[in-house]
Amino acid sequence: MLPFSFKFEKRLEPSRLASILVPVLSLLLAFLFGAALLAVIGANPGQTYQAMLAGAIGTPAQWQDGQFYNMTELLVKAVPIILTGLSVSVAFRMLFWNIGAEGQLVMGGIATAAVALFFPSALPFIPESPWIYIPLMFVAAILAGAAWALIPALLKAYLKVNEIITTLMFNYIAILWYQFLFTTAWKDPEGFGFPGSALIPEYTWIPRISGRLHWGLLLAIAAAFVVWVIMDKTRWGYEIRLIGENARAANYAGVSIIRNIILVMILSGGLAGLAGFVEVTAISHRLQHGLAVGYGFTGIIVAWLAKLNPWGVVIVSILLSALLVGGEQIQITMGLPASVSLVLQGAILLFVLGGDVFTRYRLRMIRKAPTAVVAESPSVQEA
Amino acid sequence: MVGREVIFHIDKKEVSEVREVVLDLRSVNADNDKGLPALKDVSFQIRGGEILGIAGVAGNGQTELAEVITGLRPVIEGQVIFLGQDLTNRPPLTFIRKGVAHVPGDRLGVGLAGNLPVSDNLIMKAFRKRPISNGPFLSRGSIGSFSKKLIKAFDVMTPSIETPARNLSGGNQQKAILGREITSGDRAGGDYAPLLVAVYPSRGLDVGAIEAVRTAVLEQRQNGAAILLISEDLEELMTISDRIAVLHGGEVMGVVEPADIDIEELGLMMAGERRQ
Repeated sequence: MLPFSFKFEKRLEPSRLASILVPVLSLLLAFLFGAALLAVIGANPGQTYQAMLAGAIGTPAQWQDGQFYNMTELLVKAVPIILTGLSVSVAFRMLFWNIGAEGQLVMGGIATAAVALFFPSALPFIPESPWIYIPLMFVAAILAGAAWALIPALLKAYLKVNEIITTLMFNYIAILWYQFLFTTAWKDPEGFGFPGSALIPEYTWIPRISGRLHWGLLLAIAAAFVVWVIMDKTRWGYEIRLIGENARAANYAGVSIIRNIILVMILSGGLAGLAGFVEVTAISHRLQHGLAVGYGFTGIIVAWLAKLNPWGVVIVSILLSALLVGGEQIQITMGLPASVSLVLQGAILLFVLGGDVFTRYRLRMIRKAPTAVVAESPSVQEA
Repeated sequence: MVGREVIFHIDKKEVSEVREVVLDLRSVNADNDKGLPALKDVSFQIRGGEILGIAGVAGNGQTELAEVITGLRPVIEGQVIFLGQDLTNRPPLTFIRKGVAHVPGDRLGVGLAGNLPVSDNLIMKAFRKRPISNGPFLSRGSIGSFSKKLIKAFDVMTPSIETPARNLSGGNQQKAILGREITSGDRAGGDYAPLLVAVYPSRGLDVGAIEAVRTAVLEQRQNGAAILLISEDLEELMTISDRIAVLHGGEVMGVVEPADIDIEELGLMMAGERRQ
């Protein structure tokens, strides 16, 4: 027998050191795990990671030439992920499982395109100016995303219908509608048969900063700020946290759960709708393939990795998009499948969430008191 | 065990003047969570400065009674009148605003959000009011000073106001809840809640905490609050109640004064014997 044993015990207060060290170590472990997988499929892990890094942020040589293509692409990808991550995190905070950010994003995109495509001819008195049209589309996208989230919210609030199923299914309804619109109803008659709506007028485009990087990045950061203020500084945020921690206690404290389900889902759907708005007005400029590429689901991973913290969402979104952009790059430079980055993404989620146990529990070594040898061993007596 | 002698014979001063009726229950009927009748034609009144004890074997409608009086459970028939106002089937927030304090029987299940810091738990009833909230915003400074004041006034032992509430001992959790509830009223002229509904307030506590809880309840009586005390501890009911109502199968078997009855008789009523 060992003279000591180990006990896994709950920490009374979360340790500050562990809350920093554990995620970092978990991340390293995830990359080690990825390296092992890469080795198995016959790739050089070191070279692959280097290529991914170069793909995500570029190389010093490129920077000297003033080429920041990779970095701007990374941020372009991060914008919708930040917005869906925020969307998911506000709903998750009160344990409302909104799996429908993807559908809410698509609805936001459709509404944005609808305003840009049809308002100029239907409502000619509206001045054709970005100062009018961009706010209009902005509001339309929020309303559309919120409305799409509101249906499952009402079903949950008044009929107790499981929101995981409804929000998930609503994704597919939204995506199919959107495909119908750009392949049939709103298809560009001058599009040479290609699926896609007509281009939206240029004055409805969000201007770009550099490369494809657009001012939507600022919008995403502003959204993170707003969510942070709501969650951390307001009565409403307190009510949301209370419901998430103990719904019975919240009800006892006079907090209306029905009202909060509805309001939180309006906020959550609105944020996801904004992700659709930036994708249409700043990137695609029309409805076409490539709007529903899973940002809504990546948002779920981001929300968990960020522990539902809005600033954490911003950072994790940028890291995950680095992984995605880098993954695309290794397809070209290393001839490896881009899904390597998805595997890594999954490994990171697994290791970081698994490692979280160590921030809440600690392993303690317990020395055993020396036991009386005499009573146990008759041989001593004989001697 | 508590480092000093424990006195359970608490001074109970007489409240002689007849005060107004605070709570008036008129033939209240309600169902339990399974949809079966839990309260049948329950009627009684509590006046200010009076403790009405509810005796009964657990599961005879006590929890449901407390929930009906605090708006947490719908009334099927009958009326809940509070200070002359009909509050039947109003939402819990109305009861809170009117000043109905509630110490629930299930501390961590209902009374507290265990993972949230002590301060967040202490403001559960007061966060809508100034100075804790300022319009839609919460004031962190006020939350801190409010929490520290409550912790001091009710002798809650906690390492800090940031400690998760579940890490406190049962007695300190209960003192925190009690302090929060007692001070939750905002009736003009008094800083106490006009009605306190306390469900098994001393269950599972150490003797020091039990004494603190009972003292606090009696202090509220002295302040003129009406108190509904649901307890399984007959000695507690006999010492601090002014009157005792016995619940059996959701019905009131009778309302008695502690001086007129001994524990055996009370036991018989709890088993279903009626008494006028």
